[in-house]
Amino acid sequence: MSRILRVNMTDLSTKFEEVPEKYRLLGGRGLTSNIVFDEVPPDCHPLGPNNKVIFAPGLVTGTSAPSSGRLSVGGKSPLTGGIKEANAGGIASQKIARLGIKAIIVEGQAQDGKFYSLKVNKDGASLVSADDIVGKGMYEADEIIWRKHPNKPGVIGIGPAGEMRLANAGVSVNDSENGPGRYAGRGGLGAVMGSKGLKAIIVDDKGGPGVSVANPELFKQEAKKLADALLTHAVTSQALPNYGTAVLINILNEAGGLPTRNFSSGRFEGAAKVSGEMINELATKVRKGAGRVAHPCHPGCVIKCSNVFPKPDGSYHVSCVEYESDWAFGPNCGIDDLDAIAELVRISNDVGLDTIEAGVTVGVAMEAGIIPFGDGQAAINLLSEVGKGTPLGRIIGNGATFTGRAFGVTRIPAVKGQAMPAYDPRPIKGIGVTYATSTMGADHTSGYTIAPEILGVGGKADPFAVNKGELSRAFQATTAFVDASGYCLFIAFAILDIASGFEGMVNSVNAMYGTDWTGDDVVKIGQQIIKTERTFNERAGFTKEHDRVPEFMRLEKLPPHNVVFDVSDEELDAVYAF
Amino acid sequence: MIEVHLFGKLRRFGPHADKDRECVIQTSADATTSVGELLISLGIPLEEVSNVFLDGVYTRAAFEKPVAGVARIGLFPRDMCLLYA
Repeated sequence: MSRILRVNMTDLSTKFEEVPEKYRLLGGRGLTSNIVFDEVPPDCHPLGPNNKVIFAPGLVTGTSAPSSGRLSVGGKSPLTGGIKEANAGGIASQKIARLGIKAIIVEGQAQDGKFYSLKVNKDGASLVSADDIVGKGMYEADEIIWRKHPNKPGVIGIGPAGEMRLANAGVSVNDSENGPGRYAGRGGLGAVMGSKGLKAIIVDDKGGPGVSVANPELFKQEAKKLADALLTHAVTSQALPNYGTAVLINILNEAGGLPTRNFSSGRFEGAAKVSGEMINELATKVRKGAGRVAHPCHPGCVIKCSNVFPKPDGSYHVSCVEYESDWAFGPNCGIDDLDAIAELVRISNDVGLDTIEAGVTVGVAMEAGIIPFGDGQAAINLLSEVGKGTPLGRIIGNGATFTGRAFGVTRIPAVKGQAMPAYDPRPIKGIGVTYATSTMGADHTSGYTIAPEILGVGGKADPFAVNKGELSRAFQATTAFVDASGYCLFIAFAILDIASGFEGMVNSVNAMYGTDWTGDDVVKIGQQIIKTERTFNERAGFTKEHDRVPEFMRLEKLPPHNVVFDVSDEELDAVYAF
Repeated sequence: MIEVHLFGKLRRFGPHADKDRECVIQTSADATTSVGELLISLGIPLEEVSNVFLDGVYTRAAFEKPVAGVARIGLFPRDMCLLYA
């Protein structure tokens, strides 16, 4: 029987609670968002004593189902001021689930100004001093923790950015090689951990009870259907393992939707130099050494979209250079140097920053003239200021909107205070509808309409058409369910096109919980999650006027297609008409 | 003038196979020529092409379209099939 672990940082106590019936069929994002809704006052300060940070494996996490090891982290966001669910791979989520823990709720604040580590294992949970890792970057912190804990535990931690409570502080999760690069990055939940005095959660599942499955035979059959779909579909079996998500660099560049130099163009002349093809070439043919593609971010992933990017001498540099990070520090900053991009990703992983927000912030700083576009070394120097805690570093560490305000920039590509990802919404309208209306702020993963708009997956939608409310709504609802399931969102490529894969996804959950959910139920459950989040945001002060893209995107035409974002406010408002 | 931009394994049909720069064939064709006919004339096997962008717009059934008015053709191979048809 699963339990909830409640951690009180004020009196440094831990206790296990029975799972309330209303949470029994919730997991991942569905669970974190409902707990935030039930327990966090919407008007609380995100870094104050009344906010909470919640960690929840998905519904099928910890099982043998393919690509199902995702972790949801929830709370009120210091970046957006609204509800937040950030999602990560890595090894911790499966271990939490295999200890029979459905969620970890961290509340209160340490009273002595010190940092603590939460140790969780088969015997229980306890808070211990984090003096051994406080102030350290995540690479060193993870190394110290594994040195002290021979069972190679999962580590959920924050770098110096989180300790400084900066609004772009992410939550690191270690991978199978103990690298810290699997981030629940978005929305600043690392700062919430920091505000509570929690440096790390160390999860050792050795001897744990494992997960129970209501109908093991059916589960095995349905998980195989999903695995077969993932291993058949061209995206999940060829493109992603071969070239990683950065395969999208050349594709979005060709589509004219690759945001370049702080969203001032949709094409980057240096795209080829930072493309997935180039990463593959350097990692597997030119430099080799530690370089690797088809690298899984957690055990049991069959998609394996991660990579290990090597230094010029072949030694390990960072894992991983994926599309969003590559784009954020590359084309978005006018940088065409993969080694500089890799170093910027490494700094982010170490200091504890979300790479999308960090890259967009550097782009805004370039727009402000702090450093020139295209100067990789200057970008490295600038981002390094964050870990040092200098005044400039603290501005950068608070994200793109904060930095734009600090330097009087009007071209700030953000919604609800959160920076936009690597798809310009002007020539790809549907993703703009998702950016504008998502409960999370600008977030491509909330409703990845790119799939039909650009990639031809799950039907085909004209990227320039403005009637995208219904498309975005459908994707947002299904996504919310996938985020609750613990499956990686990238299974969507396969399950949107292969019916048996979709059945496998839904029925593997059914087999585990004894439910009989259908595809329609999936949409309804997803909609309910979004409604819960939306209600929290309304109570936190958000209105429909917050569901808008920044003004400059309606005024400035984006080359090469020379279009503005022209989806009507009525269309945006219709997304929540359910 | 029409630019044909080649990606992945299709680069071998262009002027070079360097991954760090654009691989572009500069060509021209009669306005009534179809995209497919143009590609065949350039020695590019259509069965190796997964998806086609015409002037930055993903286009289904592109091989049958005339090249009239098209300035840029982007071609991705089957093993980069994020462009799944």
